[in-house]
Amino acid sequence: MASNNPQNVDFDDRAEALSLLKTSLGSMELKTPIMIASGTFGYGNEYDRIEGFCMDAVAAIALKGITSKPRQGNPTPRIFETPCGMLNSIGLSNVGVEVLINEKLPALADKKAHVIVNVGGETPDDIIDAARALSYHKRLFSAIEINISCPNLQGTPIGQDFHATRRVVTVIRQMYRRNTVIVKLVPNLSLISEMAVVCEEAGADALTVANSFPGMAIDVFERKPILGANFGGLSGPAIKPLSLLLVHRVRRAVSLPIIASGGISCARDAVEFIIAGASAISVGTALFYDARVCSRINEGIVDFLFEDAKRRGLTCPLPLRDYIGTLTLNG
Amino acid sequence: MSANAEKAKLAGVCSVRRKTIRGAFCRLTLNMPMEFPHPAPGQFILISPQPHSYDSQQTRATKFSTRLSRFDMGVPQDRTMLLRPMSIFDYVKAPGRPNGLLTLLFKVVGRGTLSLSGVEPGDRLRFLGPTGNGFNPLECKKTLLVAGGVGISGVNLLCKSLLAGGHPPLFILGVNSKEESPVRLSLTEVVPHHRWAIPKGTEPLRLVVSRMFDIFVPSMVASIYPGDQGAFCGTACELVERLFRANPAYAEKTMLAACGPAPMLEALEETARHYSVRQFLVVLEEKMACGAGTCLGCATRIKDLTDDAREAAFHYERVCTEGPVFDGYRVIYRM
Repeated sequence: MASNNPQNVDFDDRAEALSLLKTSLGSMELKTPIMIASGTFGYGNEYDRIEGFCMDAVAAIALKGITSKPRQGNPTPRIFETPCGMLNSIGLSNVGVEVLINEKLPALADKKAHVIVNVGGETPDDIIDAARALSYHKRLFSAIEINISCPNLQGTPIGQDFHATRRVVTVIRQMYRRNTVIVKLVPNLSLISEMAVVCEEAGADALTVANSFPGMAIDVFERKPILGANFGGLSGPAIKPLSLLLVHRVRRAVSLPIIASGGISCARDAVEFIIAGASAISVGTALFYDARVCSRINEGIVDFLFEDAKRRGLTCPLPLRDYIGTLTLNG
Repeated sequence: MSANAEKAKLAGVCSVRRKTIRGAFCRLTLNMPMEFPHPAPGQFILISPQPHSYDSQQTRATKFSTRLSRFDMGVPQDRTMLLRPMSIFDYVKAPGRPNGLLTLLFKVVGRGTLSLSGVEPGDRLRFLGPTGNGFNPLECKKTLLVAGGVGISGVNLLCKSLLAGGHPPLFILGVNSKEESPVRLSLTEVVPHHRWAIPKGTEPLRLVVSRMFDIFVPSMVASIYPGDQGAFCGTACELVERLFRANPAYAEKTMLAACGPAPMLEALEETARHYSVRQFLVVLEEKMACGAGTCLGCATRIKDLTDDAREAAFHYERVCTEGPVFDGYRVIYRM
């Protein structure tokens, strides 16, 4: 679409324009800042069947959260749309580590994007077990994302407990020397910056900020929650301002690269997060209602870089990485 | 039921050709793009209630020539956000015409369907599909189709293809009353030469054929509202039960396919088991987010295959990928 835009006459070469989008996450080089959030992309191959979705537009894909044993997941209904957002309570329904290693990961060998494995569980030991099983197959994926923040499990998420989080991250860090270790934080944490510091000290390479926010919806005639599991995680454009603030807070607390996640649906959202301090952005819910969203965000960011260069009187646009964390607060 | 699972999916943009609203029901006729494959009976599409944003925004971009118009695009505005899964009520591709016409028939029940009923002819809507596992080529020659209200959308295409294949099904539509029917009903007495479609032994029953299709399907209407002259007074399931009771041999040779509310399907399962109906298929619907099999939101409970099928353990299957057509004997209907 960029080639149709008369504005791009000064920059014909699409490939060169897209090279402005390169960024990195620890040792992981990303061709664009876009990653796909865990839980919205299945085990990596489902979207191949959907025309319009372009793997070239995506730097990394996070697979569905995996646990040491297969899980059925939560009772239905599991999905409910709310204004500008959706509630989900899938409950970590997954095939288990064994099937992931034997069937799903080998099928992703020639994917043009980094593969991120997301590990979860009800207790710290569950997560460690899943990570351990995967640690014998490290070459099959680039990064491991530790999901300490699933809103759809019983009890409080591990990510609200500083000691448990420190332990999980430390142990998994020791298992993975080369792979990037990412921690996905709990959003509704008043001390999110302290938690980020704990993760940094425990050896994390990057942080995902953040998981979906806990929420609920009620059927007024039944006087019962709509979701089968009563509560769910809220995602979509509705939570974007909330996660933007979280990214800002975490940026102030730690120097780790941040993957912003929460309601990103257009290039402006992406750039806002990058200016607030994110090195990469995660797209999830937006993919459900527009399979082309990733290409569109990339093109929109390129447009922004040119426009910004023009407004600042520069001869050529700056690469996107120069924008990371450039926010200055008022007064 | 995995024959067409591997078929390539298609996402694209269609345009609204006609919209008819009658009571709570909305009927949308959509102009599908040329590449749209012929949907198999039972398949569905996901359709966005948002008019396609690229068009309007690109026009704006050229008009005002602002570089940033693409920058903001994609935020849902006044309508609901997610695509809505809809059974394909009808699909016609006239010879010589490049585009097929797809008809959706749905009932306005919530915000999403309300949004979708607000589209206007000429609007361009994004869609995904046709997707899902439809009905396999059927092993039974005799077919009984049961639709509960707007569930007619789920089985109508199958009805059409059976007719085209030379095996007209018997169609039973259950409605609350004639006024609340998703299709316009004109009830008439059964035409003698269609009598063969009705199982023997059901003579005392006043049989009725409705002209609810362009093509003439031997069909019966069950209405729970007693004032509907000509319709069977009772639920669709009671009518099915009555047919089977009158002619148990018919039940054993029949494929029963149904789409409708869960209590109806559950009652039908009991009847089907009681009369050992040979094959019982149901078309399920569930709230969906992705429609591609990734989000696991549309899961439904399926009994594991064990000897004791009644109280056995279950697992979840995705309505969008493994479904929407399931073996009706294995679905757990109760919440």
